Amino acid sequence: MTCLKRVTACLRALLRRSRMERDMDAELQFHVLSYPEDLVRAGLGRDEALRRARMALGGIDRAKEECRDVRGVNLAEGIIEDLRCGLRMMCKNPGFSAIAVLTLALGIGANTAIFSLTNTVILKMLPVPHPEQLVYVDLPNAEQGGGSYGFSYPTYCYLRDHNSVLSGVFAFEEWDRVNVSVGDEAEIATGQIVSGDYYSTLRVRAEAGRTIIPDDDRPGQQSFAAMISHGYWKRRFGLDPGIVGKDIAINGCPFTIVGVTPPEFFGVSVGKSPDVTLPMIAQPQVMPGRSLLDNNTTWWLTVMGRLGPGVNEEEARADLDVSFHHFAPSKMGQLKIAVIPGGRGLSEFRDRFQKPLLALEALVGLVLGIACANVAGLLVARAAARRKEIALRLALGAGRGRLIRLLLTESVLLSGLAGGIGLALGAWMSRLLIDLVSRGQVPIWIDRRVDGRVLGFTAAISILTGMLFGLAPALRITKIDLGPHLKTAGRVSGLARSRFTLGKALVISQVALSLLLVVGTGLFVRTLRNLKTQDLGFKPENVLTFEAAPILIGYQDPRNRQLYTQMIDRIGNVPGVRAVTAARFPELTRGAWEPSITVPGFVPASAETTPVQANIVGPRYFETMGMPLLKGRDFSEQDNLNSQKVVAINEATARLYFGAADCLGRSLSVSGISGQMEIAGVVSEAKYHSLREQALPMLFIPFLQLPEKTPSFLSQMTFYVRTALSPESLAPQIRREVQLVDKDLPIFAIKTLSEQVDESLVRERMVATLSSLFGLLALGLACVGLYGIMAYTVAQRTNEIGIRIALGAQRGKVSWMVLRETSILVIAGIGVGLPITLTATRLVRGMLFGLTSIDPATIACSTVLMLMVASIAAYVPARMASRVDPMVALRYE
Amino acid sequence: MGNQLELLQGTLDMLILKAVSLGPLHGYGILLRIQQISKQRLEIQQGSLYPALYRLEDQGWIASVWGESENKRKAKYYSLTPAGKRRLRTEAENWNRMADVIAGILSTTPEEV
Repeated sequence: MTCLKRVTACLRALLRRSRMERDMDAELQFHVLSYPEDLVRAGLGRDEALRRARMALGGIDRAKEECRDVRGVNLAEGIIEDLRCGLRMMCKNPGFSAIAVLTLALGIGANTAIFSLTNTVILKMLPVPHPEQLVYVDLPNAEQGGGSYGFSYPTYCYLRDHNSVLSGVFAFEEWDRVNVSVGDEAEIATGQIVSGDYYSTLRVRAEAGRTIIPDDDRPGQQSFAAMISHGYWKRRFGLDPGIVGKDIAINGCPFTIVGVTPPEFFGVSVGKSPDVTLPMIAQPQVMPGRSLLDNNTTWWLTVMGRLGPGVNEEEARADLDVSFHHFAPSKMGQLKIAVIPGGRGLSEFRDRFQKPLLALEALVGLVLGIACANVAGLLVARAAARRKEIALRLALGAGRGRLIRLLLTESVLLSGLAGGIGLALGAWMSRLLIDLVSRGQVPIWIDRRVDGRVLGFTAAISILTGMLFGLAPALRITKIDLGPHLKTAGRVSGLARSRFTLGKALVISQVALSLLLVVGTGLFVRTLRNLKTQDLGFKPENVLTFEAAPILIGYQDPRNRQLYTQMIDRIGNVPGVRAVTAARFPELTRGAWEPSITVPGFVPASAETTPVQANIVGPRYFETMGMPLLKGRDFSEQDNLNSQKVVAINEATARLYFGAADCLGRSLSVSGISGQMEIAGVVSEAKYHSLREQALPMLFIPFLQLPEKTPSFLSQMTFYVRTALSPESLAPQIRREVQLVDKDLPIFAIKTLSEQVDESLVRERMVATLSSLFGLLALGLACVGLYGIMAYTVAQRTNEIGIRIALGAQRGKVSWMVLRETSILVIAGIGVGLPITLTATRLVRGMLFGLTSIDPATIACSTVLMLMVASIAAYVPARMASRVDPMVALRYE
Repeated sequence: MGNQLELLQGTLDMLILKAVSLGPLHGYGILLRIQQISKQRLEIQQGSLYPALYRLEDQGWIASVWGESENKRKAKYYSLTPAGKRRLRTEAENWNRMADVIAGILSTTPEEV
């Protein structure tokens, strides 16, 4: 009979139980009456007939039992019975149950939180139909350490029109900031620009109105179409039902909203959710001064497509590669197309956080393991108290398997309850985590709704946990000898001693795992400290920074320059401001310009030259940032279009091109800027993009000296204001000065430079904070576990201790005995844990900074910490042991 | 009742199916019929009858219906289903084949080995 049939029969039997019972009763009753009648008819006496009948039928109840077994009811009923028994047990020991459930809930909750984040960021597919068909068309940069090029718009169009392998292909680019005005109110929002077939390829339907279609992307539009996200509809328009057809202006250009995307759709980048989406045809209007639609030299678009039926990635790659090389300019000729599965979306967030998340998963799994060991230890200790009950059950005929099932049901009940609490706890914790992680330049958008996968995960680990910590004690306890336990009223000391190796093994494993966690925490915390205390090359204290993007309100060269100069002037006059400057590429962000530098007389030693990056900065940049000048001078207002072109370089660049020779006054030229530029100053090295980088060569160009009409370099600027006292207190005044220059100018990302430094360390901070929490939790659990087992041992051996004291042992020696036993346990735990730690920490080598994975100082400190924890745990039991009154101990059996 | 042959495992099901194939019967009646058609050489353990009946019903080879017995008592009558008929045929064939094989083995003389 198939499994399914069995299960349905079982369920049916359960539900109609009473009717079934009555039926069975009636049927057997008929038999019980008919048989004796026949016997009587055959000549037997009535009593004899009845006796024979009963004997022959073998006991009606037994027959019924067998019938029930055949029906499959027994299993289900047994489990229900076990559940009821388990619940009763839990209520009888509320203290024990509470501790166990709480311990497990913490472990399960932490796991749920981390997994929920991992699920959203790493595992989930995009919320579109058939995401597995989506692919990225990539143009990887084979040379300098990875990264890829985008596509130019004409190349994308060519690929779109000349391929036979993709059923749909679209291009898009995301923008962190666009200026969206509704009526008179302007606000900064996130946006993306897409080709006309974006939504049709993704097969996304609008929640209200319609999506952008290829027709919206053709030249000659009367008014441009735009779509907004559901979140933006809620946030800015209050779910206005008249949203479709509303007129808005984006970066000054008029658009009409044609539709709203559904709430679960967020584009194709995990971690971002563009508020507005515009068609590609609007690009020249929205980015004034730079039309990229006919431009085949700017490679800026990301391209994705949906594989056609029956096409695999390799075929698509080959076809697209051929098309690409037909059309691409020779400069891009040596690049090859790659086709990458895109079902999960591309995600910068994922790339940055994948490793830390996996490390956290491991840590949190360890915590759960320790919690399990703890609860198992509790169960084992309590099982000893239930010995009589178990012995009785066994004696009454319960099979060992049946008993194990009973005990396991209790464990799973405990862990199931803990799982329920853990789910709520985990949801709360993951919200905290997301908040911690999204404090940054651009807020991270992560779908917070509880996913089915997360629920399934929580359920699964709850049940597994229950089985894990319940199995060993259940197996152990049902192996007992019936005799001694039914007879003795209490404890039998000799037996108890050897019996406790399971409990000891559990504690040793707890100590080992805790050691791993504590060492891990130590490594991560020290990494964070190393990163924060190193010399940054600039002084972040007392500096206020903000970004201004005049391009969003239509500024072009030369108005830009005037604007910036005026802003620097006015802010400089605010009392309390010591210096103010600006830079195109802010500190500790990813942006940079990599021009080719030509130094007359310099021949590169090898084909591989370290790329020199360049930043466009304002006057007194180095003074404001606190970057020490080694030679020469800082930029000033005199360095403008009428004076000699100058640059400043840092030590690394000087070493690269000039060795140890003096370079002040030497000339070089930079691609894109005509004429020779003179080196006016040399500054010391600093961190420009990330706190982990080493010695990047850098070049600085004053923005006032940029040739006319170099639009992208002047489109926005980050300002730095060094103040005498607290930067935040001057923020309102500075804002006012900026508004006096231009009241519509959008400024944002107002923060102090120290906050910026902290933000760049968000991953390390997250890992260090969480692992400290987990480490503390683990230590606490290990401490409790140690205490539990030592207290239990002392209680078991009260008899023996009493005898020792009666025979003259000093109390001090007795305490020492307990301490010695605890130390043995801990040292064993450390002995087991150390090799595991040394191997495991190698896995996180890449995340560390300034120390190796087997850093001796960290390991030594962790070991000492464990020993201290041990002595704390042993303190109370040791005192208990020393206080044993021999008279009481000897009398009490 | 003479020498009772011990019933081989699994043959009880076959016997019940055969008994029921001759006409619908209640549990006790099945017992009696098997005894009758075996000419009193076979007596079924009464305790093992009902579990076997339930098992056969679960597997769909017999169907039950409540009815009235000769002496006006409520009793459950079992009858053979078409699937049961097929099952009986297959089981009978297997049994006969098995009996042939075993008979062949048992009648082997030393010379034939």
